[in-house]
Amino acid sequence: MDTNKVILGIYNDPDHIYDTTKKLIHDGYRVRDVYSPFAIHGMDRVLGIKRSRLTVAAFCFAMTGIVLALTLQTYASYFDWQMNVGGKPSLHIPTYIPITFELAILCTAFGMVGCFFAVNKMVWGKNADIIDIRVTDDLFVVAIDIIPNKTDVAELSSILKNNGAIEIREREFED
Amino acid sequence: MGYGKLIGKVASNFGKGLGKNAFSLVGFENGTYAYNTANGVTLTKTDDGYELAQTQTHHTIEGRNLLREASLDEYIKNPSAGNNDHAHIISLWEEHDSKGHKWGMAIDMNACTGCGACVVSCSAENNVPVVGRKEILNSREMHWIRIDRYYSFKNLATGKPSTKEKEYNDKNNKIDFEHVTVMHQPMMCQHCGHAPCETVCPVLATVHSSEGLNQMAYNRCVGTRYCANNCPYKVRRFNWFKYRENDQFDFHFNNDLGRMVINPDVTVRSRGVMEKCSFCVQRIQASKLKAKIENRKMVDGDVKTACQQSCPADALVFGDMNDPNSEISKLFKNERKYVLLEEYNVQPSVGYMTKIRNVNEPIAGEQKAPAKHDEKHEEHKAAEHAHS
Repeated sequence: MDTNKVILGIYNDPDHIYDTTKKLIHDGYRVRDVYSPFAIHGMDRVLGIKRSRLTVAAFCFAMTGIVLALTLQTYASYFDWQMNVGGKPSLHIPTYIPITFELAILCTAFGMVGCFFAVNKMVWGKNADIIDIRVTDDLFVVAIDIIPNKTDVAELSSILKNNGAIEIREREFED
Repeated sequence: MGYGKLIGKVASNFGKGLGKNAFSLVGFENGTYAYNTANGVTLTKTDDGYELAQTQTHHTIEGRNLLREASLDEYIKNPSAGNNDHAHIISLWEEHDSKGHKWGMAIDMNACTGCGACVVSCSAENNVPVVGRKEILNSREMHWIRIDRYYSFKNLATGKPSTKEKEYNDKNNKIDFEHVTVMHQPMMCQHCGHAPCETVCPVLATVHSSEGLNQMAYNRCVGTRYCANNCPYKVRRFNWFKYRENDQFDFHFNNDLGRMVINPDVTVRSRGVMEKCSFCVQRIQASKLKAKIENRKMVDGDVKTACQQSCPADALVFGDMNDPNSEISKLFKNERKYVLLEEYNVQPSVGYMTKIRNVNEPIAGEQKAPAKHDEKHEEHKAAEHAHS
């Protein structure tokens, strides 16, 4: 990011913010993000957000679980300590399936949660940086980057205003 | 009537006050007891009932056929008469190695008289708790070995043996209740090679030893009782309570003197675990150690289980099936030998010897082809099941 400063357009109607965002992106402004109390249908497409790669991570974690479970069981019940349970063979993959399944699910669940926290840099003690406290209630905020010597703040403000913004202000991110 | 016990046994009042003495109803005439004369006693019928605590109706085998019998004539013609309708068995997996010992037991149903000495000695050897009348009524007795009794009566109309309660209750059937044919079958853990109880244990508390014993790890058992449900022979017993140092079960495990009778070689089980016949594993281990100290190999007859030791008819034989010269190996090659519920392919380590009766009319009937192995026997012999 070449800038910390953003201009915030605050709206009270999801349709207005949707149209504004669409127009701003069309006009070449760099929209940092849109904040909303709920998911606005189609907004991810407008913002050009790519499909989450969490599924890929999930698959990898599941594979880890499966390999771990099969290794553990093969080692424990065949190489280390064979036991005769009802005359059944010790090395028998179908009997390992329940534990393999469970461990795959466990690894996937914990892995995905851990992965999500890591990607979003969420650690213990970190406070949420809420763009405007009212987005947690009933208002909608679009944040547009102010690139020095490029973004015309006055023109941008008028676009926001004309599209129904109830308030416009500038804000600076700390990082 | 339980004889009407007036005093209890040593160190506990076990037995005191149990039962009623019915001898006051018996007269004494001409130097002998007379059961049909009442000396001044009048009997009045009341509406009161009394529930009998008996184990005879416990552990139903669901009409499955566990018995094989043949007449002497049939046996002379064909030594395997009565038991050669073998099931066609296939295994889904390869057998485990059975090097070293492989313990097994042979039970001769010809010799067994149903006396119950094995039950008593097993209970004494293996610290089997006494559970008392109330728990017997709840079908919770703890015996590791039981003697199943099967009755059959002759149906006078058809001339065939009649074994089912349904047939007895049917008034159209004329059944000769005066002449009963009884069969005694000692029943304990069969130590199956493909044990159905082991596969259902979620915590591996019951697994096979390398010597073919079906073992219990009491510490591991969590008391799901799946094993008992899956056992086709109904030989597993669950400890519903702590039977020692428990005022609710004031029998011989509840005081210092009584506990001195407990066999120190056998674990006293606690509440919530399953138990069953162990083939007297403590005796097997002791014999192994003895042979080791004497620097020799174990020989046939070194190990005698408690039930075998006390059997007055030598109906039970225990030994190593991997030793070709042992008595049990010879008995297992005998034509009369069969295993219970062979068609399940659970591969029991206990073999039974077909009962041969000294009667003229054929019992086993014609031998059938393997494909139809169970129909005839179901019909004829799946008997009212009882247990002493």
